[in-house]
Amino acid sequence: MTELQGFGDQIALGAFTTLRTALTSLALGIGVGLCGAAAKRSRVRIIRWLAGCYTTIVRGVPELLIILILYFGGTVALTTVFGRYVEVDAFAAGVFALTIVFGAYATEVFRAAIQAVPSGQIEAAQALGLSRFCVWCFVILPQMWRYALPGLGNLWLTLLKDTALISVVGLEDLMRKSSIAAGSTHDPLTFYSIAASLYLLFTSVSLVGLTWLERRADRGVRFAK
Amino acid sequence: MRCLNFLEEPTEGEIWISGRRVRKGGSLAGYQEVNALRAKLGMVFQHFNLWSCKTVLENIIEAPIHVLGISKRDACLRAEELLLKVGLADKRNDYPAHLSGGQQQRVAIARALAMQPEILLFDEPTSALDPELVGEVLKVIRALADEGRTMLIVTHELGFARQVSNHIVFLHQGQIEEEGNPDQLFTKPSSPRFKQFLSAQFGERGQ
Amino acid sequence: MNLHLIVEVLPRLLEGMFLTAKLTAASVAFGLLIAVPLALLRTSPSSVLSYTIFLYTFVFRGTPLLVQLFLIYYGAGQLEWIRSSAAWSILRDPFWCALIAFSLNNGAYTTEILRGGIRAVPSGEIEAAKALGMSYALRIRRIVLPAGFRLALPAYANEVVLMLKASSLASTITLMELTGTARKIVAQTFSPYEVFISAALIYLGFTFLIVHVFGRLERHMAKHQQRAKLKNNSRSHRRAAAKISASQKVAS
Repeated sequence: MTELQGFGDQIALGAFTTLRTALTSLALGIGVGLCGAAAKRSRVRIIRWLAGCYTTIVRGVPELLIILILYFGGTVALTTVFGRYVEVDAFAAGVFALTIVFGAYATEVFRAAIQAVPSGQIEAAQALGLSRFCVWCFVILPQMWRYALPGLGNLWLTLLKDTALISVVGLEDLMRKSSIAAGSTHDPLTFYSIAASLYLLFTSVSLVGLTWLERRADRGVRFAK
Repeated sequence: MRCLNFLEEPTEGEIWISGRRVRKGGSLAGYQEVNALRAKLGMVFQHFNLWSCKTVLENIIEAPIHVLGISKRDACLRAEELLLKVGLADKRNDYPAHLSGGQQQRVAIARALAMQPEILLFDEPTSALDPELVGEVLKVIRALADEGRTMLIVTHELGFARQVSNHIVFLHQGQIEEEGNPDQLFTKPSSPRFKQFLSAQFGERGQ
Repeated sequence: MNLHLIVEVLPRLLEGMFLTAKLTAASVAFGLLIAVPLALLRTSPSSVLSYTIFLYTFVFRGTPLLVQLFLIYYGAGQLEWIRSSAAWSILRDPFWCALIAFSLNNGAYTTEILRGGIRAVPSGEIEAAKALGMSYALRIRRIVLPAGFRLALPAYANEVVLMLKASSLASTITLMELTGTARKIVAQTFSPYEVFISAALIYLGFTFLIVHVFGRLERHMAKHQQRAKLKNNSRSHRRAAAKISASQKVAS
């Protein structure tokens, strides 16, 4: 089993793609989640309703199906637009799908976190004459992170594992590379075990990192309780 | 108090109940013995500890049915009687969360009585209650005393202790400071600490 | 949107839905069967047992379900002793492989959810049971598990929905459940929107059904809390329940 029968590099490359996909989706998903939470607190009823539909639908449909819809649906759409067969990039479709999924769950996490910010603080800022935008930027957001962190941490772990689903539409991630290696060497046990260990490593490191972040976010508050 | 029924393991000393020395738990025989002992000692807690997901009636019949093996019908009949006694017959199908603290404590007393215990243990039964609810619980306990039941009560209600008890032990920091029959104890206290405690209690009431 | 096509493929999708329902229900049932004893051991005072079970839940919650599924479906056949044993007739069948992977995965999540519920049972209620002479087994059966289940219910409802969604992975090992059927139809007709969105709507309906059933169950079990206003007892209870559902929103 020297150099994993020559697949060592491929697996490392796949692991890198997995992390890149997950991190991109995380960054975009947090943005979507913040917008979603803001929409859910909006004064306009239709916006609140739309945000509600978004989170309900996305959380009720399998992630795999969402990926398939965006991948095949995107391909059909592009083909119609360009008049010839155009295939959607698996990375783009995958990141898009995971962003949508992450954003829906993050919306709920942020909404709950915003509610946890003492309402007196928001009222105080309003009393000082700060605009709604300023209240958001300077009062709500900085304080909300502490409450949102545990929930976001869980979502990140889920996201990391969900990247494996994109391999189904051909993204060359850790899962897909392992499948290829398993197929050509007829040794699925070894390669899937390696993949599992790597995923476990990623989640373990994330857990350690999250614990550290949470402790950091709780600075100054822990003793005040 | 909590050592008596082995909710906490005593570190040293001996426990004698009804002229029998209680062995320490640990072995299976000891474990079963402890359970049998607990069934004979009714315990009422400071914080009631009713099972919040069961109704008042279910709280009372649970242990008689499953520990003593009484039929459900008999257990219910007995429970109804007890509820009548503590004055809560109309609450039988309510959940503990719907009751006031005093009512909950009275249910807890009924639950302990349902096991037909030889001795009743009260662990500060009124200290978690609002002052206006203390009376109703004390009334129930007093009625039980009048029936001639053996009871062991830990309490800060000195006046109540004096009326109901026939033997008082005053503890301070785990040591017995004063012991004896209530009249003698309250009229001629010998320990300075007990004197101090008495004057603090009754001085307050005088104001 | 081609409505005619939707009407045409609907019977096939509904057939796939039947397998999805079967897989989900069986996995949830087996998962619960695994989780109840493990959650009890996980909360037991023995740290060795607790640690061993934590290892199981950690591995199954820390790796993608897809990897677990492939390891069982493709990996098991590689071992000679499995191939020659009676278990091979089961492990050769994709349905059983999916069921085993899903049950183990669901069992791991449910174990941790139940553990949270059991730990949130007020210690006073357990003490009261002890003081009334109830044995350990009796206490667990009559007091700890019912109260723990009730506290864990919101998080558990979430977990069942996640299991429904995770069952779509069975399509990757050739099972023709809802997602698998939809993929097959798309490959034949190449109209992804109609077919996939119909499938999504069926999943959504299923999710609503699960949420509704658990919502009713919760309301039924929470009768004793509804009218409570002032009592600290119930308030601390509810807080405990909220805490679990918040901390256990880990998706699969």
